[in-house]
Amino acid sequence: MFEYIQIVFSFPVLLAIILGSVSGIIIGGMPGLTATMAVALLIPITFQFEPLIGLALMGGVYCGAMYGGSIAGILLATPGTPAAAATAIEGYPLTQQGKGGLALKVSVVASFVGGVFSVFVLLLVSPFLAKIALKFGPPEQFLLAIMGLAGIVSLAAGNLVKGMISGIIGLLIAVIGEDPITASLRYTGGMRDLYEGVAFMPALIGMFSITSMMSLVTQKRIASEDVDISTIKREKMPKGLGSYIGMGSVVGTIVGILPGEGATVAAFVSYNFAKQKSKMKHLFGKGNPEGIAAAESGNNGCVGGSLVPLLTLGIPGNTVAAALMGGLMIHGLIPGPELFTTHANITYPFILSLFIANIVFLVVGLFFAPYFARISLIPAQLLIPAICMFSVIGSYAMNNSVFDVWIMLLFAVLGFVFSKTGFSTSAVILGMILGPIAENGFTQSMAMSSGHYGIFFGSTISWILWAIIALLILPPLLTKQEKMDHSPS
Amino acid sequence: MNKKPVLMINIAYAIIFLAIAAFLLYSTRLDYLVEGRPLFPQQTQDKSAVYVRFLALSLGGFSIIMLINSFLRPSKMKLEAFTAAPKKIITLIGVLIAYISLIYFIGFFAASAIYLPVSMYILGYRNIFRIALTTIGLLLFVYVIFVTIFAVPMPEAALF
Repeated sequence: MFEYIQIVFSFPVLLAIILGSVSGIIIGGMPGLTATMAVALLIPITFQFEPLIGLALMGGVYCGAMYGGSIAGILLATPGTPAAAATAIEGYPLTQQGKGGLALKVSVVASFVGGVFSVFVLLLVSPFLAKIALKFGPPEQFLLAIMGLAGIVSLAAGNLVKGMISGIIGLLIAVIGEDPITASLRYTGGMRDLYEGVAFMPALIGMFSITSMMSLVTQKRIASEDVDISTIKREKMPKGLGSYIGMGSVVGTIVGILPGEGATVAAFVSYNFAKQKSKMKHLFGKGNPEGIAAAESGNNGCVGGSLVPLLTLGIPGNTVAAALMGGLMIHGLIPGPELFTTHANITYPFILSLFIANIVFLVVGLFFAPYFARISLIPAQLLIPAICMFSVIGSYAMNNSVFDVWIMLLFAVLGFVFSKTGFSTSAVILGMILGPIAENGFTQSMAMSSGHYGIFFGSTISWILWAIIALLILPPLLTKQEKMDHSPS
Repeated sequence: MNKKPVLMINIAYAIIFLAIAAFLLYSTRLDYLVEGRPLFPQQTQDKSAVYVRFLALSLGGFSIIMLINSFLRPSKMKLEAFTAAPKKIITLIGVLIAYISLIYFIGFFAASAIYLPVSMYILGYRNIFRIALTTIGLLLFVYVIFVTIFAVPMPEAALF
């Protein structure tokens, strides 16, 4: 192992990691640029490099981007990546209170711990975990989606019924497009742009970013209170976040290992767990650092997690891992046991380089957080048009479609009206994210079992998932019922 | 606070959601045809059709509960929040509609060069020098990062 550490600490590899991580933070922080896109763009460039340098560069981008997504989410309610949506729910209210610097600090520390934990898991027990991940079939994937959807109960802060309706609307929007079994088109109204469904990123940007800008028109700037750099630098991390970060790291790593699940699911599931556990449930949605800690450690935990099935079985856990797989294969590194034997001198230094990438973004994040936070002091009249412009770019860039920009605007108006009439925009988004996973899992399970629902209770993993779902849904339901029973009306 | 408008809003929502739920339920039947073919063919009847039916029934069910709740437990929601600065919000939406339409016709950079200063001025900023500087800075930034470095395709003009 010492030999591998020596390789990682050579100047070209270190430089590649630093460049990758810093670029990743910038890429992740901007709507319209994704880690997948950056890694894919790097593949032909890194072909000329030594395999390890190329991989270290791509790994750095992956780690940095996963953290970077939270910066714009916290400061501008514009998540740079979908995985930062849960972070934005808690981060933006903190920015409005003049605590954007603190939120960024919590985010970077949680991201660091989540990232490092998942890389440790990748380093130590990846072959064993990959075998378990293979036992996750369509029924288990459906139940995992239901586990994520249980978050609707938590997200419906004020009105449970309206929260449930919001979540169902999100799930129904996700139905638009191709049928997962027959590929026949549903509810597209003949519009070619809807054949692949309603694009998720424009909807997210519309509901989070533009809706926030609509609320900002009446204010002079985002932060209601002054943001002082030296105060932010002196500000200590809130106490008691360790357990939330630990929980998010474990959840993120597990979700990352499962093929087909991604950092967004990991962040929302971790966020949901945090809300169940918290003693300050009433602060969720209004700026609770516990939510940021769980969500950020969750989505960064996915980084190492998604590489477990990739390196051991050749199954990418998400789209970035799929792009990274291209990077491995272009250098003749075929995922599988040989990576850990024949090519150990590349694989292990690559895994070790991810540790350094996490340290790099921690240092950059902690140092620059107070300066980033000053964005909240920019006059709203200048900021709103700028954010709207970046939102347009972000919505267009995914599919190069102006139609998606209209979708963004439609969802912005819908989100604004919904949020002002007691519905939950976060639940709509959660429904849209998890809808395709839930429907695919459900229809494939039904096809496997010839329509028998017993398939959802057919394995030990299924029963464990049912138990977790019950634990996630019942306590908040009972609490809400108690509150309703004691309400004066 | 007047509670009647809130009740009316909830009733309007419930009617819309119930109509959507009814349509979705009907659309999963084999005799609901689009261009001469069932929207949900026979092989989907115990799979995705069941999934959509479940969602439709849930939407309908929760809409009815919302309606009953609206009468039994009057909302504490403040309608004033909804109507705060409606002119500014409608203006922002209007400017965005104009911006996106303009992008289609004259492309991203030309449209943004008009949209940014105009919207900053409409929103109430009066320092012309800063408006110009911000506009140029933002467009340069986008050009360097998105176009030059990452080669992200930007919307092109339909007119020329």
